[in-house]
Amino acid sequence: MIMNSSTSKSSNAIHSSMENRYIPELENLEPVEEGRLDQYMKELHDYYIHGIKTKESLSREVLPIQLAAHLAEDRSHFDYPAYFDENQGAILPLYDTVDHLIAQHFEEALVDDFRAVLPEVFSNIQNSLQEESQGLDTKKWIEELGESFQFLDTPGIKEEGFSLKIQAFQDDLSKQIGTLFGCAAKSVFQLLDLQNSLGNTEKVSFVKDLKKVSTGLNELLLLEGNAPDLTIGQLDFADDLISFDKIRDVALDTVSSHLPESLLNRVKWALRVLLNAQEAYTKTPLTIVTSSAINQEFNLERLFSNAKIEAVSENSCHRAKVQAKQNTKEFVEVIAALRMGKLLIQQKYDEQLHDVYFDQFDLDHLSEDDLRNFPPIVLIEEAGKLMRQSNDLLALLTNESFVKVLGINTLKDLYEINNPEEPSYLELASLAIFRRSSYVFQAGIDDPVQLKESFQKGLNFPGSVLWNILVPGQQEKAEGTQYLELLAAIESRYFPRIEYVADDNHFAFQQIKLRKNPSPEATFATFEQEIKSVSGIESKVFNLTIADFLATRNLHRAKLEVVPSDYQSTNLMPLAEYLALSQDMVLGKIPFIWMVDDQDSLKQVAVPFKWVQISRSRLEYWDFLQSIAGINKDHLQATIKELKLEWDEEKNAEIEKLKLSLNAQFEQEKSGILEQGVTQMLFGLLEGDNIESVLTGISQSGSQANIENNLDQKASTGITESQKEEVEIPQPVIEEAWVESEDCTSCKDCVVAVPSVFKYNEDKQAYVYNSKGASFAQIVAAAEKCPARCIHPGVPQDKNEPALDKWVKRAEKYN
Amino acid sequence: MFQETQEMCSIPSLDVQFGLNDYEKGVARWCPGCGGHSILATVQRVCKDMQYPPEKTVAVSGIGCSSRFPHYMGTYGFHGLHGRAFPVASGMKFRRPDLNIFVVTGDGDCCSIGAGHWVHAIRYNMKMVVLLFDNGIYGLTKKQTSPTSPLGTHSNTHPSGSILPPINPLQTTLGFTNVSFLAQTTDWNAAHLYATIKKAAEHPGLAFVRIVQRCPAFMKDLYGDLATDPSNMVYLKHDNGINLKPRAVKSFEHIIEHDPADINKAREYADIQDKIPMGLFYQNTDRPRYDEYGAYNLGMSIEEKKQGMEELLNKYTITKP
Repeated sequence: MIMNSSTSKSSNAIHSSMENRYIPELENLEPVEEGRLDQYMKELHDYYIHGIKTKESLSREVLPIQLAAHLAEDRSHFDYPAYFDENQGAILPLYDTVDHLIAQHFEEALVDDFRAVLPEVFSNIQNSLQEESQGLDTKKWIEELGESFQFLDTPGIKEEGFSLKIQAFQDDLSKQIGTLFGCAAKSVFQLLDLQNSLGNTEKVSFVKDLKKVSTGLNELLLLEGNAPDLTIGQLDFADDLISFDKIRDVALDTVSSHLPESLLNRVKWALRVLLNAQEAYTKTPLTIVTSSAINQEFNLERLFSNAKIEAVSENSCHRAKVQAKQNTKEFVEVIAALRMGKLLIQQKYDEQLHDVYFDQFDLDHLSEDDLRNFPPIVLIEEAGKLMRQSNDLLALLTNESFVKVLGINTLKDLYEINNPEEPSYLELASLAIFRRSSYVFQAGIDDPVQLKESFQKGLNFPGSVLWNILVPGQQEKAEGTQYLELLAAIESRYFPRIEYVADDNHFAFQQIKLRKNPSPEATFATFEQEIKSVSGIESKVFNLTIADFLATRNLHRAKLEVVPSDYQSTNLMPLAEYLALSQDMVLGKIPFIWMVDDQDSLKQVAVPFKWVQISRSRLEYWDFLQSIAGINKDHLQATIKELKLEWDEEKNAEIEKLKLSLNAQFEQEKSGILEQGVTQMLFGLLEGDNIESVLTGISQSGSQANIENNLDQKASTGITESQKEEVEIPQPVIEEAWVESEDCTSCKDCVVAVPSVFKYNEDKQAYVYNSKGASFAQIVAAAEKCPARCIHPGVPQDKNEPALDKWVKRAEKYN
Repeated sequence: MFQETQEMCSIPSLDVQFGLNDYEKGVARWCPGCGGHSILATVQRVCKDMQYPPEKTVAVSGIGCSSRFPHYMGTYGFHGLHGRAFPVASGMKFRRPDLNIFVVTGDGDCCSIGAGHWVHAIRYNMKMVVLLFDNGIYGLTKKQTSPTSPLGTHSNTHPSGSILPPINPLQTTLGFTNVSFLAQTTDWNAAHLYATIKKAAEHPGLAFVRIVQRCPAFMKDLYGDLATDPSNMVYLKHDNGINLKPRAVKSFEHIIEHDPADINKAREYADIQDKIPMGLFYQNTDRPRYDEYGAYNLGMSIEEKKQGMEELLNKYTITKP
């Protein structure tokens, strides 16, 4: 796996030996006298506002700490170049594979020496990958690598058979290594092409489906109509085996067309559409619309193996829209033909319904599975230009456009800080997120594994897509540090990683993912670095600010004021702290960042106002991203607090109201009962009862009613019990003959023997339709014959029948 | 390919309701009181309730009284060679998995001349319903001993009583490899007969149903007493078995709880001699099916078939040493 910044440190720790560790020093000088310091601070303030360097400023070359450490320890080769391993279907770092193979093929004594050669070889590879058009000859560099091993002075090398070992190593290596990717803009397109050519099984099965249905229709035409000429070729394979022509001639003449003319034409239409689609979808599945500038700069035609590229000088968004409309129309036609073909083959096709269904067949009739097979259209354009066509761009990012937009941001653009226009294109991703129907992915080329995954997701996403990718510019002559510059741009929050998958089932903030950024919950990412100070070697944590990123570029570094180490003032403040405070609290303070000079000593470097401004604006955006991604929940908590207050108030008012009404009720009841008691007492006294009985009468008047109720209930349950016992009395004999039709086995006995009485119902089970249709004797005989014993003869309908007693007795068994 | 039809078709289909008369044809020429009438009516009812399109339904039979069955069904039918109902039905299912197939065979057709095919039909386990009309006698040829005639049956071939013990079709079927469904029912219990055939029709694989059948013409004695006395019937009850309405269950005096997944218990109950056990003895829906293997390439294009053929032939290419 390619490491992200945090894990790569640990891998570096394994590779780099202890002596190679980079430890900058923190100088401890006597502070200068106060008068000079005050004077210097005044000048420094001027620098902060106007950007004019002071006279005291050190004229030394300074580097951001991470960059310096990186260059000193030579870590450049660990993540790039990468290659695609076909067997594992994954992107892997080349260094790990080579390193692993060395350990596998050579003795331990040699391994360390060989490893020492690698950095140089790798930076050569990286450089040649960077170069414009020259492809890298894999064979050649593997050979060179082997040669450079042989020139080493290590004793074991002169041994016999060593060249065989080298040969084996080279063979193994060339077996594993596929396409190489450098840390360059080109890799984005190579990865997109790779992912597209890997395709997905669904698309393969879609083409298969097309083939199946079209051959099915062909067979149908052969059987039912005259086959169109284009299908005859499909039978050629049989020519060698038998004289097929003759058979076909005979067969086709004798088979007449069963299909009506109109349907025949429709079948032919469907077949034609499907055959065309089959060809189109196997040949060029990717349509690319791009600006001619991009096409020229990156030479796209050489990078894409399987695509139709259309370059326009301007209005690329509009062109993509038109292209998408055309492709959609074609695709809908194909699906309609496919559906019709399937129905025809399954003999479910109903011509009368054709117009109802297929005439209005449009995008709405397509299922999500169908849409996954939509041949992708990719618009490749500079992010800035995309932003300038925002109206057209927003139209592309709707549900129904299916254009996948690949925005390209170069490091060069990011370093353009003096552009008077607000660099709004940096917020392109959030524009797409607010359309709520796209898949959005923003990242750099620093992590090819992630990038490949996102291409896979995006290409299979049934809707619009925006990839906003940061790359080193093609023309920029490398200082060999693009990888680190990219990382700094991304991790300093200048160009954060964002992923958003539109999904109806979740809240928006659950779908926006920032977790690929280092410590996404914090304002700044941090990194640790060992430094040497008076108290010895210690580990110090630094914030990675936007100034750290901007300082990675030479051009910007030249403008920075390096504060001499003996000018120590409390008014100098780290940029991260400076930004955290409100504007009136930082009056008179100067922000700085830590950098390293050419003698590996740490220096405070003052940052101009312009940089602070940029930092503020980018951090504001970062804060906004955090809150829409649900990481920063301040607004949520505030809302909850507000709602809680409101709720409390409401409830308190209700409680008060309830208290009042309950009190009133209580008073009323109390006085009512008293009144009742008093009147009863008076009546009792008047009628001559003694006081005790009157008082008990008052207290028991409620409970007496209950007792009466209970008695009532008991009486009623007693009655139901006696009823239950009565249920099991024998049922009376039904007088007329009848059949339990449900048990009838349909054996036909009764309906054949006594058709005037028994008939079948619609379930083909017997019933009595006329009980007086035959003699009682016949009915009883039928009952005796019935295998299911479901005929019940009843009592004789004609009392004058002869020998009735005998029959009644025989019938008893069946009633 | 044939299974996916419903989901794919978004054209509303006309509501076709098939009635009982769609499955009826001609007048059944079995003797009055023959169990065949009852089974015929029940199969027709099952077809109606499952709404099998008549043109997608086939009744296949061999030779015998029972094998006249296809003539009375309003569906397609195949009145085949003696003992060869199984191979014909297997062939149909192999290439036309969309058809609903009923195999109608008798004790002579299945257990005697067709016994060899019986073994392999069970092993192939293609989805079809097999109805064994077992009346224990050759009726069409007027009373000869059949393999399932009870010991001592007086017939034209054995006037003083048969001398060999009969085959037990249940035990035999349970002994065959890959058996997936075995049930027994009688022609005179309409509710149980219906429920059993319905269950068989729903089974994914070969459902073998032995139907104990009366022959009022030649074997009046055989099941006459058993049929009239409900205490002779044993109902194998289980939630996964043949489920009857409570009223129908009431007609059974003996009820045994039997899980159809248990093949050993099934063998034990299949051996009950003095009574007729009725219900589902064994069912296993996970058994491999040969018709799935046969149908997998039905939707293949000519190119794919050609390619497959080429690959196969290339395997046997002989190169010069």
